[in-house]
Amino acid sequence: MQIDIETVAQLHAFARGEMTWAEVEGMTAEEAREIARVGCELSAAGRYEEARILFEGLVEGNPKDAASRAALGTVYQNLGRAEEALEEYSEALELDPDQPVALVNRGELYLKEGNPQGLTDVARAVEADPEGETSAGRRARALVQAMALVAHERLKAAPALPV
Amino acid sequence: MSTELGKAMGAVKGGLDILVGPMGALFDVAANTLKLPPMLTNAAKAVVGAATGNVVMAASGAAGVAQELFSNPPARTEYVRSRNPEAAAAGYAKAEGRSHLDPELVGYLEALRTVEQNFGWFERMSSTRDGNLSLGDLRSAASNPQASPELRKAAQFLVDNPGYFERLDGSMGLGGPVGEAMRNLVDDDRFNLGSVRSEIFKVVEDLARYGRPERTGSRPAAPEPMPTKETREVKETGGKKETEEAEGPERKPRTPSSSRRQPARGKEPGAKDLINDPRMSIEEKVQAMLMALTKDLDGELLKVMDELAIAQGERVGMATQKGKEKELADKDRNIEFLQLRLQKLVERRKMMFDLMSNMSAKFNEMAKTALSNLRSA
Repeated sequence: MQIDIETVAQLHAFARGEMTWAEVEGMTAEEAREIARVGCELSAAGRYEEARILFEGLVEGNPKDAASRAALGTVYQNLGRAEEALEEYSEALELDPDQPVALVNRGELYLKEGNPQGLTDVARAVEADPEGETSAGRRARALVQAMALVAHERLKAAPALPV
Repeated sequence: MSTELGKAMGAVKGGLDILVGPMGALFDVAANTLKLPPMLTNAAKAVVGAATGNVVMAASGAAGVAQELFSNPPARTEYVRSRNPEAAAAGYAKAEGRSHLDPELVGYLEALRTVEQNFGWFERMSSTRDGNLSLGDLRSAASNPQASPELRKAAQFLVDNPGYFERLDGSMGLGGPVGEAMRNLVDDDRFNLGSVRSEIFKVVEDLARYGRPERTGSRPAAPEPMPTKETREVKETGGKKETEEAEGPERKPRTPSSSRRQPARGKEPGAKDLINDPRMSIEEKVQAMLMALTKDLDGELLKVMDELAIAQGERVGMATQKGKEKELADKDRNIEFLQLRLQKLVERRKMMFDLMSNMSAKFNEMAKTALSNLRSA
């Protein structure tokens, strides 16, 4: 078997962590998006195991893709694997601190655990997607609105503090 | 914002146990349906109890928020790229030369544009002056010292690329067996302005659908074509911007008829973009696709109307000339054919509109049912 010099150089770069497998394979961001689109549709149809395989593949191929990591996190969350979901969200946020999907879903998981860090995450998700372009951003905004509504009513009902 | 939220949640945490009994159970069911975190559910219970004591009233007051939460469930799988293009493409191979179209197609489009905009000049230089150009006419134009370099280059391209000349010669803008039959009929090594426009439309469509191919280095690049609306659209699609500077020898103000063009395809998202858009629901995608198809249909309608106007204009000019009975009969047939095509397109347009309207009604009905179910839960 003969491997051309360029491929050998790429494999060396991959081994040194200078290139991702997606780069070695020549996978473009557009191709990754096509695969992710299928993954999203599988997940929307409730076929989480198949979606997991696709997104795990994408993350293996390019661990630098925060969007894939966040999407994989949602699949894990739907599969009831909250710990792994949290890990993926945190990894995604390391790569892209404004990743709205990772922010809102990690925020909600934290809130379920009673961790106040969840509030910060949800608030940051709103800031990351102020126009509500993503479902995650719209959910974050609705959650913040719900919290604000609750707090406002509660404060109205509370006795006035002595001056 | 985080500070305000922190204060608000602090206030909420203090009063979680106000609501008890059947109302609390009811709210639990609602919150479970919306998949709210327990912290929020408890806080909401507190509000309901403190503010009105009436669960239904409180729930309806927050209906907007509840609906938003319902339509955006937790952990929905989305693939949301970073806004920074560099960060979004990090770790992936660079996309280059992805289009598999013939690189010479760009040169073909440039040649077509030049011929379209200077058709009058080409026709005057032709041997027959009957609204048609032959390969011989192009050959003489390519070697005509009076012609500008742009005109010579365009003519030379079509002479040098017989495959593209054949394509132009047989261009009818029709598909199916009827189109094939018509193409055979018009394959007489001559083409008219209608064929040129039909070809421009097809090439622009192919470039928009499959991407602009890289030009090969084997041939010298043709000069930038004189900008028309369509040229600018294609340029913008390719991420370039060009200035309006060239003035062709036949450049004149466009008539209202010729300025009616297909919609700005380059600025519209393609079918692939619509399907790939993770922010759109299936319903939105279907509707957007239908909209895009309708726009395409509108473009085709306008094109046929243009062709019809040209054909009718030529027919009127020919009516007074003697000895052109055969050509007149051909023109009449062409006009009838275009009218038939126009009628079919109008019918298709109407069908599309009805389909879109029906789909909107269905989606609306589905949304209403979902809301009604939510209210009765």
